[in-house]
Amino acid sequence: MQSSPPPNAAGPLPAFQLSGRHDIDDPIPGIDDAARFHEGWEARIFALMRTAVADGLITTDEFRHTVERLPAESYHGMTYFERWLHAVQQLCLEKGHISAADLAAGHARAAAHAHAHPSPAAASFAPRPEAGVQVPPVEERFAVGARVRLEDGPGAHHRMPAWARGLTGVVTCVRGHFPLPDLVVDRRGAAGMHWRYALYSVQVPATDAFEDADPRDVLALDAYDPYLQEAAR
Amino acid sequence: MTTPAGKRQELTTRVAALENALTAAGKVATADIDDTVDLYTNRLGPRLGAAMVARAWCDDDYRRALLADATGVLREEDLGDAARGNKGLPFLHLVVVENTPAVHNVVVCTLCSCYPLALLGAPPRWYKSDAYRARAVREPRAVLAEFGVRLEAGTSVRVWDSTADCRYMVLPQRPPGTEGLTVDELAALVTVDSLIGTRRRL
Repeated sequence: MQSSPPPNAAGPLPAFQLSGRHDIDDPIPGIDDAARFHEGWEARIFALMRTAVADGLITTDEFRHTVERLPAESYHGMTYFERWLHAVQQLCLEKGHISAADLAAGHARAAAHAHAHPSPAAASFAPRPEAGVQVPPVEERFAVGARVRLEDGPGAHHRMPAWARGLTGVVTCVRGHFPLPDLVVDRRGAAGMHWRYALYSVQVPATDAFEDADPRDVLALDAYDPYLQEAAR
Repeated sequence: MTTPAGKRQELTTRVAALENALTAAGKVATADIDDTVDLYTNRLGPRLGAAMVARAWCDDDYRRALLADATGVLREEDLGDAARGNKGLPFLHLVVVENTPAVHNVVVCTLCSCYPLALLGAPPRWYKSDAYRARAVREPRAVLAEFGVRLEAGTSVRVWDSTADCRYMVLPQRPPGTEGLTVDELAALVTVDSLIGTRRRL
């Protein structure tokens, strides 16, 4: 693993890092809104994305990373499911599942209200087997109770939220061993999908993250081993 | 929460175009997409989590197992119709966190919108909003107040940011005066907000 960028590195936060934003102060919208989808296309792109993941066309990390690559004006200019449509389409083109010509043909048929024909898809109802792939043993560098410093992950798609960057927390449990999102989006074979890293639950006093927080409160996140550095006692 | 008709038509066509391209290329099957829509709109939902909560209130061994290893418990649950064709379920790593008089738990995903989809179905609109994602960690008590939650003096708030592979569900406290109710009657009291932590009393 290469060294991580320094926490709280200079530069504006990407659009998806909302948690450090003091300028987003709107009331929570739709508290009493029970509907999960408000228009037919929303349910359709939601199901298309879930199907593409289940069939192994894309991974959730690749999908998130594609949303994260949106410039701020696009990110905030799109509704939630518009981001989904953008990301699934972009990713299917980038990964060569479809070509621009396929999409144009699909558009012509959609505009003419022609129906797509079902075709068989690979079923994947269980975690993928790892047989034959050489992977290093998982190292758990930290034990429950360890004090750790939270840093950005080593890749372009890491899962360290803005609120926690650079803070010190305490490991409260080991969640298990999982692929590192930073590597999954790199699509470098075994290193991406098959190498496993320890995932820890880490807790931070809320006042360490936000000055005005209630001193009784605690913020918790899950962080992968490469995101953590040993912190002084 | 609807888009203007012209925009809606454009988005509908774009989604259909993408679906057409993927099915024509043999990458996905329309029948699978149809089934996935049905799964998330009809077969999954908060009632599955509510049933687990109600059982935990009545069966202390089950409650302890759920808090120790919810994923393990979930693998043994009979989810019936909800399990059929549920390709996400084998990948769901569930963590259940328990409310007590001293602790109130709230779940958020500040980076995107992680949620125990394969159990509870799609999340509510507010859960995915920029406002909830930005504010739930910064000022959880103010957010809870908007949902009408009033915390007892001395109760601490624990916010769980779903940043990685685990998905969180809150085990709310059993309401007082429900001793005579059956498990099914108890489950009917449990709301989706209480499973996310934006409701405290049932």
